[in-house]
Amino acid sequence: MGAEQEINSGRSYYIDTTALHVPRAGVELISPLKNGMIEDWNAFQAIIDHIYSKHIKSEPSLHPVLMSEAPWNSRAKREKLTELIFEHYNIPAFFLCKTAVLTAFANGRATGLVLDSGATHTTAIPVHDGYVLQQGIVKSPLAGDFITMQCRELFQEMNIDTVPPYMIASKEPVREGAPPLWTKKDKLPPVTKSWHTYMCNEVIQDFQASVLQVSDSPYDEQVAAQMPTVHYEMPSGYSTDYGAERLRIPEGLFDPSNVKGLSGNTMLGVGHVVTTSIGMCDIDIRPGLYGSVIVTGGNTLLQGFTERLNRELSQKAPPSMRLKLIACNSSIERRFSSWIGGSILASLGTFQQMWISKQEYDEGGKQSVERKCP
Amino acid sequence: MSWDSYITSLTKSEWVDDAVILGCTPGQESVWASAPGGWLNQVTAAEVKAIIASDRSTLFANGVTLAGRKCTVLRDALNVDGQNTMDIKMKTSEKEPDPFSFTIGRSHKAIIIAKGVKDAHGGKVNPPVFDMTAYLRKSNM
Repeated sequence: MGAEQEINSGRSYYIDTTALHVPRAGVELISPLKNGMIEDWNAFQAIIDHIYSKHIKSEPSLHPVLMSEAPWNSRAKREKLTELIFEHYNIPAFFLCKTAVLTAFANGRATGLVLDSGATHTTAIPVHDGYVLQQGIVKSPLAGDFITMQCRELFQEMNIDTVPPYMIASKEPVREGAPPLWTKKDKLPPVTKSWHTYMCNEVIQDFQASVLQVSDSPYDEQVAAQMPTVHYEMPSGYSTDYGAERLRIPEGLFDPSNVKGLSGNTMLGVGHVVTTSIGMCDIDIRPGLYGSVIVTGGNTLLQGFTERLNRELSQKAPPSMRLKLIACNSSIERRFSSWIGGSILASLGTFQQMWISKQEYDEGGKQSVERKCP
Repeated sequence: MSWDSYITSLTKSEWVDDAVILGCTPGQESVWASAPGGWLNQVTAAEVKAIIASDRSTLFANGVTLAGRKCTVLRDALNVDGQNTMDIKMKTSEKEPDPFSFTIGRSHKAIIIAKGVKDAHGGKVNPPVFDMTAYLRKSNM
């Protein structure tokens, strides 16, 4: 994963997962993307340079590039990206494809409702015959980061310190629920707050992935109290059992009405995001969308997510509508489905007509991207 | 000035096999020129009115029709300055199993509709229509 760091003076970047986890003084942790679109162009260019030199190990001018983009990407950013690709990197041919279309292809379909629940957003994007229907895109901010925040509040209530592994030199086993006993590494460099927060978030995300579960029917206190508890040990050594919280926290994704801090906001639960999106599309294609609801994104790997979504949709969809949920079983496929789809698309014979060649760019300018990449 | 030459410049692309130019000002929605052998010349005045309507909200939910054939609206920038194009795709049925791509361009007085060949990607049909629309707009037509 390419999040990276920079030093404030002179801007040098440390890129890639291994480099990311080394504690360094004064290095901020940033992402070049905001809301799925490129915001920090210098950092983005640094990542591309890193990819070509360290991973592809070849000249950019020798290979056509298929790049994915957010379905709501703005025209100005697409044109700026096209200009960067052709003018700076001299790439021979280029195509920009929306992530939802690639995800659909990765699941063997050209039509479907792509439900992407990642870190920052949960979005429903209708795809028809390989084209995104932009008017039907519905976004909700209730996704992985929201769950992480809820978990952090839970730990604060339970007075648990999330100590990231980089600070721990050694720890001792303690009784369940007893305060942790650990020694801090000496000679730690003065790391920045953004980096430290990210490392703490990783601990919480591990907790999120292993302990939380989505209840397969709307949350009920009595039922939750009888849930089997799960034991979890923090990197600091603190360990305890978690019961009802396992179900209560992810419930906010499907039913935001009871979540603290959200009252007054009319947020849509995941089921509603899907039905609202399909409801904005052409009536004749709705059966095709309900018949292929493609679930993707890391947040959907929460235990019980797809079963609960299936239940919600069968209740909310119009009666007699055939409903089918498609979800890859492997976590790699769900997190990187757009890459997999891109790999499939670029190998198709019918795709070769679609590239924007350098010659077409020279004749048509950067506006060609808006014409040729719908 | 012959409108037929505009049609041939559209259909000479290997990706476009049918085209029509119709007037779009109220009362003038007739076929100005069309490609021989195609069916786009049967687009009616009512369909033109629906396509250029200023209220775009019903277009996505209900689709448009071209010569009676139903189509889904994929991308609508018909009334957006600098673009003035709309990408649509024909809905399939038993009689017409191939979903053809169409691009509609709107200049000041006319609309241009081009039909892609079977399996043509929308991105091949849009550029010639866009270029022609931009040219007509510059010449104030």
